[in-house]
Amino acid sequence: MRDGTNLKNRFLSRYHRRRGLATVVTGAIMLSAVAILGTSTVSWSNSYLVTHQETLERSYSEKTNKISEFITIENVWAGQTITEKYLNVTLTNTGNIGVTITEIKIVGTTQHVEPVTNGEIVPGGVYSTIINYEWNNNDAIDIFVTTARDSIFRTQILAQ
Amino acid sequence: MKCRKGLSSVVGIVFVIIALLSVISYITYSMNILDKFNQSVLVTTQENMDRANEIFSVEKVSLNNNKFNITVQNNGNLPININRLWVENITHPSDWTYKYDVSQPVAPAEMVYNIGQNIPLTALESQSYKMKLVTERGNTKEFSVNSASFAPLNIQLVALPPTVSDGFTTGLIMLVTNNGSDTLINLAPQTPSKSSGLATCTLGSVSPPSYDTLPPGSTAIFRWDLTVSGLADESCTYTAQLQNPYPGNTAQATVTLKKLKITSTDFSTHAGILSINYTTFRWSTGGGWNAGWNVPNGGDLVFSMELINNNASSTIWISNTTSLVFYAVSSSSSVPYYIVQNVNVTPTPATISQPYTCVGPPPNDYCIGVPPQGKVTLYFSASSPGSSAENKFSGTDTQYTGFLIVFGKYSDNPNDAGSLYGQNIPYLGLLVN
Repeated sequence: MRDGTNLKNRFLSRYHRRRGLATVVTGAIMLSAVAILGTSTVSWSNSYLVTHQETLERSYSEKTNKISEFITIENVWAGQTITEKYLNVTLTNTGNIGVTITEIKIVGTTQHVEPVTNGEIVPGGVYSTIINYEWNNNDAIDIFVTTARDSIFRTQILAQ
Repeated sequence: MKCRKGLSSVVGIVFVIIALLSVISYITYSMNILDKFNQSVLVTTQENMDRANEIFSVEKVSLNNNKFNITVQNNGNLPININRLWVENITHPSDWTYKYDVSQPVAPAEMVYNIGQNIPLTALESQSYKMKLVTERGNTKEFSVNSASFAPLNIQLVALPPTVSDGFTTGLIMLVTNNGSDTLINLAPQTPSKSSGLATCTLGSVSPPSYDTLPPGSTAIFRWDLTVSGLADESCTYTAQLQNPYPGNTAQATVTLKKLKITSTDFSTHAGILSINYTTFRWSTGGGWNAGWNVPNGGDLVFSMELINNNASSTIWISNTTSLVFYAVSSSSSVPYYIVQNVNVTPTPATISQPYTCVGPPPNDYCIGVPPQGKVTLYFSASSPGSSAENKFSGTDTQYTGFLIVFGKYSDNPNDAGSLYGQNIPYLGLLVN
């Protein structure tokens, strides 16, 4: 009887150990799966949100800067020397952020695009340039000023 | 088993919390970004509104000691700051442009003066300048000074009236309309020059001498008095232009002399149907006719003058009661000289060669007729109607005032009933001594 009892106890003991291991393994697997899935989801969502944050921030920055920049075409003077005619264009940054001028386009009887390489203007600053252009007396000339943020400012003069 | 199950839940909750925190953070961040963007839009909108609400005008520009003196009025409700002044010389051959920092604040509804007095530029009255003021917000105001030479203006010169009589004064009016887009400053005319004509014309001073400003579409009016003398149909042609003129931008006007004429109808209406030609008044005591107003006292006198009938359609027949009457100024005593048919002024004293008598009908009355718009020389001497005795001044009075009293009738024939008419024609005077 003692032997039979011992055998039963050993059997039960083995039986219980096997059943516990499977549970642990299953639990570990589930925990791992949850951890992996959770981490992945959180990482993905975080990455997604960060990407959108950056996009949003960049968009905000661009749009805010774009609506904040303002260039005044203060004076356009049609001058000439013995050999050539030119337009003396003076721009003033009347906005509250810095502006970079990229090109000045002149449209009269002919069209001329003048790229600008050093067109950075601080707020309140003034930029002047001379552009060779064969104007005729009493020509209506349109002047378009393009900034690095793709803002376009325009004016019209009567060449005299 | 319960402990393991709880751990999974905790781990899951932790992840959920992390995910929720991330989403909340993102939403909060987005809201903040949106708020900041709204703020930027509001700021920019406000700046644009301020820029649009900035209203100012150039009230006056003058040259003081060869320096510009610009007066600016802030017509808006925002303070403005005039940052720069651009000056372009249009007259100068090199056509230069200069930029000056002026930095002049102008409070709402206030004026600032003397802008341009401190810039290192010597300006000349004889030259034209195109100028531009630029504000801190980027608004500009362009105007021109002495700028008639910049572009042709609409100039008219008219004489009001264009025809005058000798010695009369007419008005020479110069109209200048600003048909450009810039305000003209300091607009002044040159004295018009006489370009042709034989009449003697004297031009007065201009009024007003200049206009401080002339906005687009407005008209400046300058006026001169012009006194014209000379012969009929002579004229003066004047050419006017502005100071610093655009080449060829001139205007002309001609004033012509005309004789002063009063038609018979005018005379009939305003001075009576009958009138006399005062220059034909003559008197005689013999030995020929005399002009003038000084006659001798005590001698037989005869007078003659032309009577004009201004009636256009009917003859007036002169009654024998028609007389030339002189009243002494001091005593009011009168001396009448009645009408006669004819006199003889060759002998001394002069005599009545034919008293106012005729066969008629009617006899001895209405003997002389003055045709429509015609004239007849009448003689006066008789001391009573129809008499052949000459009258004379015999008192001590020296100054006499005289007038012609005409009685007659308008009719085709002297014997017709006609329309009786009487008229007193004054303004004669005699000095008897």
